[in-house]
Amino acid sequence: MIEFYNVSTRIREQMILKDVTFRLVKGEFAFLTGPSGAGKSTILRHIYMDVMPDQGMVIVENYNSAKIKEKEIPMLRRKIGVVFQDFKLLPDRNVFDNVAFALRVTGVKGREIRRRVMRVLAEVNLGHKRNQYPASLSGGEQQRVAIARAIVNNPFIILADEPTGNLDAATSLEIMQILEKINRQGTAILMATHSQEILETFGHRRIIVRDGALRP
Amino acid sequence: MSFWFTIREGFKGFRRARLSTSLTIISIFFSHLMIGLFLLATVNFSRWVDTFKNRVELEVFLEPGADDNDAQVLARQVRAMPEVEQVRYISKKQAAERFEKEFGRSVYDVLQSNPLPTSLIVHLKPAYRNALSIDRLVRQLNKMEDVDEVVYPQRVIALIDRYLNVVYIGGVTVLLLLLIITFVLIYNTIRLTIYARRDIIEVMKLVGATKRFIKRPFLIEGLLQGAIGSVLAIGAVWGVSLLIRDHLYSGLLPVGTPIWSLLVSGLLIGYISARFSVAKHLKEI
Ligand SMILES: Nc1ncnc2c1ncn2[C@@H]1O[C@H](COP(=O)(O)OP(=O)(O)OP(=O)(O)O)[C@@H](O)[C@H]1O
Ligand SMILES: [Mg+2]
Repeated sequence: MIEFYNVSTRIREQMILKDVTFRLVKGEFAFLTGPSGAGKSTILRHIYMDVMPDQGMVIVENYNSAKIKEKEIPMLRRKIGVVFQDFKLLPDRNVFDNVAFALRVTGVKGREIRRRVMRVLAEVNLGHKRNQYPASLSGGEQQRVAIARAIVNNPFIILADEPTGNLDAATSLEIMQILEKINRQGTAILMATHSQEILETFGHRRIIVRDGALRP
Repeated sequence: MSFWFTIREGFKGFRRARLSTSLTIISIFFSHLMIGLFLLATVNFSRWVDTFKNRVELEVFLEPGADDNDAQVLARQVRAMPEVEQVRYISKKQAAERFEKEFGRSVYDVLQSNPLPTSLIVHLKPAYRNALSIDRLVRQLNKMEDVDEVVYPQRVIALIDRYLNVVYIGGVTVLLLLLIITFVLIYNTIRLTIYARRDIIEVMKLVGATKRFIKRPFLIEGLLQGAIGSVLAIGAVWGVSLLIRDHLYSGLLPVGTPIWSLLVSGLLIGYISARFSVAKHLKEI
């Protein structure tokens, strides 16, 4: 369902990925790990097709990087949830509207929006804070809002780029448990992380990147 | 798609770049006020020119030897020309009557005979009341049989035509410059709001908003700026017209329906500049 075939990519004359090949199956939870600057974020960006390979190809569900049209990329992204270290919440609207945003920009109707937003907020235990603004939330709560926004479109996979990078150990664990729960409900998760602790606590498959290449 | 969402986001752009939005609206207002005043002046000036040109007539004097019959033949020929609206025939006798009316004495008292030539008074159709057409017509008339001389206010007509052209070209140049300045200002304001809102654009892209959807609030913002600026200008032109009519010149004609072309122009320039700006700057986010 996600397949990289001999992907090589250069950005500004610099080789960023070198002959990357791997596959992620339906509902899998995998870690993407390796030193800073190795290319973890770049691999994730290939999956939501923010970066295109120079050689090889990336297949995501029924989309192929070699054939996809620019117009289809938004449709692909509606099936993928992304979560970042810096949350990327919009400060000018409350929790409810931040989550609803993902539905509004894809044309979902009002009543349906309310139903689905309330459901995912309950999922991350934030229903009671739906009227608060991001600035008044803790880091862990902000990341839970971001996760709610990522799952509100019922994606088949969550791409998490160091989602615990800004959080303390206890809060990180909380976020991991939410991701575990989402994964148990059938959503695949590919998570980039440095954290040795998390890698050891959660025994998922590790895809190790070094200098733009996968290590066996 | 969610219409109100787009409108609301369009208005948010206003708040994000308040200073440049105000500047842009003022500049749209100013340029469209100039266009409106130009229209007002044109409407009144061209009415004045029309009344003057309405009175323009050519007088075609016939050779002394030409008789009544020759004159009738010539009149028929002239009447058939495409430029001509109306031809009036003035016989020797009528010319004498006209002389008497104008000078208060009979021509016979002064000269004992009537040397006044027969003539045709020619009125032109409105489209041909300009120096170029008149010159061409006069040359044609001069070549015709029995025509001695054609008299008309050549210098005045040439002068009016020349000044009309100068005023027109000058006005259009100034308006174009103003529109270009407005374009640049809107283009820049939209650029600023795009950068002020790069966080929201980034999230839109991530959650799968289409390009069209992302662009729309900015296009609406441009349209709104154009609409507000030009409607203010329409109001101002209307106010100025009333002031002039009440205090300076009561015969002033209002611009009338063409004033709404200001709104069309405001919307167009708002939309077009926003489109250009979005096409250029959205890519850079
Ligand atoms: N837009 C870009 N322009 C230039 N270089 C880039 C760009 N994006 C990434 N790179 C380079 O590509 C390499 C891999 O970057 P990437 O962000 O994928 O690493 P990472 O493994 O996610 O690192 P980190 O753990 O620090 O997040 C780095 O050397 C980085 O400098
Ligand atoms: Mg990274």
